[in-house]
Amino acid sequence: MIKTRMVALVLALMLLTWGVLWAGGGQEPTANEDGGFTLRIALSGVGQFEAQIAAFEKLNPKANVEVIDVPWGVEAGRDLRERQLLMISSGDIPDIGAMIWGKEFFREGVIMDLTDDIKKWEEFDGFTAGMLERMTYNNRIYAATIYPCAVMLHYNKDILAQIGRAEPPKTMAELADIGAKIDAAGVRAPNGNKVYAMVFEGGNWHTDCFFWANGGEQMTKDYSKTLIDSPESIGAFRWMQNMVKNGYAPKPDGTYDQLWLNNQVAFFAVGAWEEKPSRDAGLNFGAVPIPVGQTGKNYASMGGTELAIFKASTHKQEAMEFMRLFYRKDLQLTAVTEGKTTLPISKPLFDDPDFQDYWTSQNNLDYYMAQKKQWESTKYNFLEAPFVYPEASKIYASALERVLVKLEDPEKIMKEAAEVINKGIAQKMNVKK
Amino acid sequence: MENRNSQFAGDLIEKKPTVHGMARRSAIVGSRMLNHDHLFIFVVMAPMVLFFATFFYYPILKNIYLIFFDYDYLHPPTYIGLANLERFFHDPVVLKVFLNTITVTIVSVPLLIVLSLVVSVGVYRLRIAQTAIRSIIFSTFLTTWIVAGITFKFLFNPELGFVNAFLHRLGIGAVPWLTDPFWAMAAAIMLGIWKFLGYFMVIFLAALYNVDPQLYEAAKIDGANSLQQFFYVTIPAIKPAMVFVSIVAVINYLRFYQQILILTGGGPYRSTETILMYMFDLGIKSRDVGYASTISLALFVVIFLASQIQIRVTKAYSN
Amino acid sequence: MRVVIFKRHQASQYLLLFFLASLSVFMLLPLIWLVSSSFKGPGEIFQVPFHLLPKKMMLDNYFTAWRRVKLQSAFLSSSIATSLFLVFHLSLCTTSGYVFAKFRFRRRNILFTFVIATMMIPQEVTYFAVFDTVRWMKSINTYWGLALPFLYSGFGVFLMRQFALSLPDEFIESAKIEGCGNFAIFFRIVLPNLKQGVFALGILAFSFMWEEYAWARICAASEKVRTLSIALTFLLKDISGNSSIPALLAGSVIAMVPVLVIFIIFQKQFIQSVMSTGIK
Repeated sequence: MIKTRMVALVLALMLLTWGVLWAGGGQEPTANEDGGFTLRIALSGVGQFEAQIAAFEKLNPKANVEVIDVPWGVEAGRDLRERQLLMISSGDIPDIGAMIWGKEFFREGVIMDLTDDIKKWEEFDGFTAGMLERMTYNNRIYAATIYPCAVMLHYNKDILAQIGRAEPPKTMAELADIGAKIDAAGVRAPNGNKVYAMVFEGGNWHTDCFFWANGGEQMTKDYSKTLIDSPESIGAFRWMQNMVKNGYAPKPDGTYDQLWLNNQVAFFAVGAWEEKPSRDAGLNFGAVPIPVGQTGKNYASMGGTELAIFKASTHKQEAMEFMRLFYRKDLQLTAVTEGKTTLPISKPLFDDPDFQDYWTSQNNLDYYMAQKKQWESTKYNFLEAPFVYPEASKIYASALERVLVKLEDPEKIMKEAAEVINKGIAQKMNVKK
Repeated sequence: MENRNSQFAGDLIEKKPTVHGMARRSAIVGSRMLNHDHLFIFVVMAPMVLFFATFFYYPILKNIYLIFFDYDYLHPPTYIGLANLERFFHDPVVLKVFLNTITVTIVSVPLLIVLSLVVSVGVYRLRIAQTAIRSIIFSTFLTTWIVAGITFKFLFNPELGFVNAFLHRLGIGAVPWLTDPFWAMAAAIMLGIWKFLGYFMVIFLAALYNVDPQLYEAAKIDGANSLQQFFYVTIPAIKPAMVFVSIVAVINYLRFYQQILILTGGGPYRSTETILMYMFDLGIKSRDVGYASTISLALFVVIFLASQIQIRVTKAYSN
Repeated sequence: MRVVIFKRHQASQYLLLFFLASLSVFMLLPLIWLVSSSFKGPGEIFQVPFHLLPKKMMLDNYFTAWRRVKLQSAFLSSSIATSLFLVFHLSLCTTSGYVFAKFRFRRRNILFTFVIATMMIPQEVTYFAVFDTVRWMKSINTYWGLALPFLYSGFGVFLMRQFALSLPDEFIESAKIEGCGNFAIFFRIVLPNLKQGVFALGILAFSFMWEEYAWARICAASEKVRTLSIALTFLLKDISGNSSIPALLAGSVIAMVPVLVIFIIFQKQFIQSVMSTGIK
């Protein structure tokens, strides 16, 4: 009797489990008979996409947007990329993917080529050279950049006042000079700690602006060889190292903006997202484009997120319609005025009266004009996330640390790193077609 | 039904129950009981085996299979024979991360065992506020690694961290915690000890409470003082716990990944990068699944060897 | 008699208490820093010297954390996943541990090794293959899917076997004589005696699942299913580069509260349960 009861119980449990499994999940078909469909988007932080999703669903009442929302991860966009890789490898491919380092995917042939379509968009003229570079691989356009950004030189007005300067530096030489003055004057922060001229925080995506301005070059034009061991690059690394050696900058230690927020740093290369925390910390600050180097040029890394359509998608037109929603002025304006984002997405809008009025009312017009200016001189930061031989990023980051933290000879370190990187890239380029 | 059972009971009365009696009894009692046991065992064991096979052994086998392939998630795997293994033996980074991980393990485990043993003996002897102290020390085990990592990262901030500020007050200079390989590893070790101390303390406490008081009596009669009692009675008596703790600790430390990720990110310049960190970077960042699988196999071999060595050594010691 | 002993050991007891209390405070320091900083603004967190009480109380951090990443739904999700997991994990590991301890059958040792060996494998390594399996079961982005890879654990089975080994055989044998079926024996005799073991495993399992991140990150894809540990990482940094460390600290404190509360309520039982059998 007990035996049969037990068997029945086991069977019931199995049925229950199976039922739970089926009830728990399930992928809905992406196309219904009544002309409705589902657009699947893999992104990070749906809050930045909600307005556009709502607008899309309003324009397409029969459509349904399914969001795969992945956390940002410990490194920018890392978890999102991982999830997309996982989805592709298991055949569960979404329509649209938000990606930070799209070129990797473009190169692998899993993304739709949108060159002919995007070139015809109205918004096309609003893309800066930097944005286009991010959207392109091998002269073909695969994605559209949303949320572009670049670092600029944030400066602490109080600290500059203490050494009798009202204006931020326009050249790297001036910056080093200010460093010497601050050091000589022994400036102290309100909390009594030492004040530095600058910090090299945020990883090479942030600090390469100093590398470039001082004449450094990451890669050859075709990205086949690295140039971090060229004499000009070594010179740039030496400039950076001297700032640390002289005590004008502390050794980078991953604490990012903490020194800046504590009034202990005069200059910080960081993006517009730092405005609110700086205000909250009560800093008296402003921002200007990165100072130029001896070549008279300045560059900041072009950052941003791209929206790309996976080749396997059957909703290309709808996907592009969704992507274009990001360039609608009304949505951009509400996002900025409601504090959801800090920047417009289309460059022309920096000069738009509505935006200008808003910034004037917030007392930070100059700040955003600096950002606009910086968008005009950006570079693609290959070594941040190389689309060939990804290990190169760790090798470069590690070498940079040895230069700025361990204070080893840049020439020796970079030659070693360049050797490994060149070898790796050559190997990878041989394998792939 | 009842008749049958009393019949079996009657048979049993003549036999004395023994420790191994169950199996024999089942055989004696007859085929019905045997089936009953078998059914029970099967119903419990079958899903378990199925689970471990599906969720552990299948992925492992898949990983091992991929060692001989070049797979990057976006294209089907291509066969490359022993290339990954060859690369493994010539990779300088592999050497470095294995050394890093093993160093952290070799330093942390004995330190942790000694510290938690000392603390547990102290708590064992404590008569005042024992519960409170016990709970507080254990509570640190319940924080999550992410929270612990973030907290320690801020605390060890060379410029602004609490630790350096405190050292400054004491007159010792600031320590370059996260910018120096040695100190970064020290910080990582401290993080591990902070988190595990309470857990191992409780395990040792349990062992201590289970030591037969008569052994202490006997030692006292022989004239042993407290310290001698500790070394000649306590330690041998809790040896099984020590072995257990040591094996669990070694396995955990060799698998360090998220524990260090937030604190140092593998820096400075890869001096605290662990095996799993390198493996995940290869698998996910570089999309080199075959090579990453090679490394995971190597890690498993190391863990297996470490456990085996520890077991053999302790067996040798007790003989 | 207690008073007499107390008086005799007074001095050394107080000394011991001093050391252990100092150690406790020392161990608590990071958590004290965490809680204190969670009430401060971004500028204040790193002010030197360290102030225990913030100059400007920012309860706002907690509200921001709660609202910005919808901690409410994350809480619910973590609770559901953890409860689901606990129910299955405790019952499955207990029954398996009991069978390993009290039954003899062919290949028992091999099976046990089969189970224990999994303790040597970092489970993160299996997640990519497990993703495929869970997806085949249509359980991605479900509460069930969150718990699925953890239903059994080598450690859980091992621990429950330890506890079961110490159960006296006589009870089970006499029940068998009376004709009780195995299932009845388990529920009526074994389980009540294993309560402490179940408890010990329960607390460890709860704290594990509550903070579980690596698999939840892969399995959850929507806000509804997202667990607490994932929701918190959204505070670390998001797509526009915003990072709110103060809110992150506040969120971490919120996440730790249930675990600590449960621990405080049950700590006596838990520690006693671990101590009652020890490791043989």
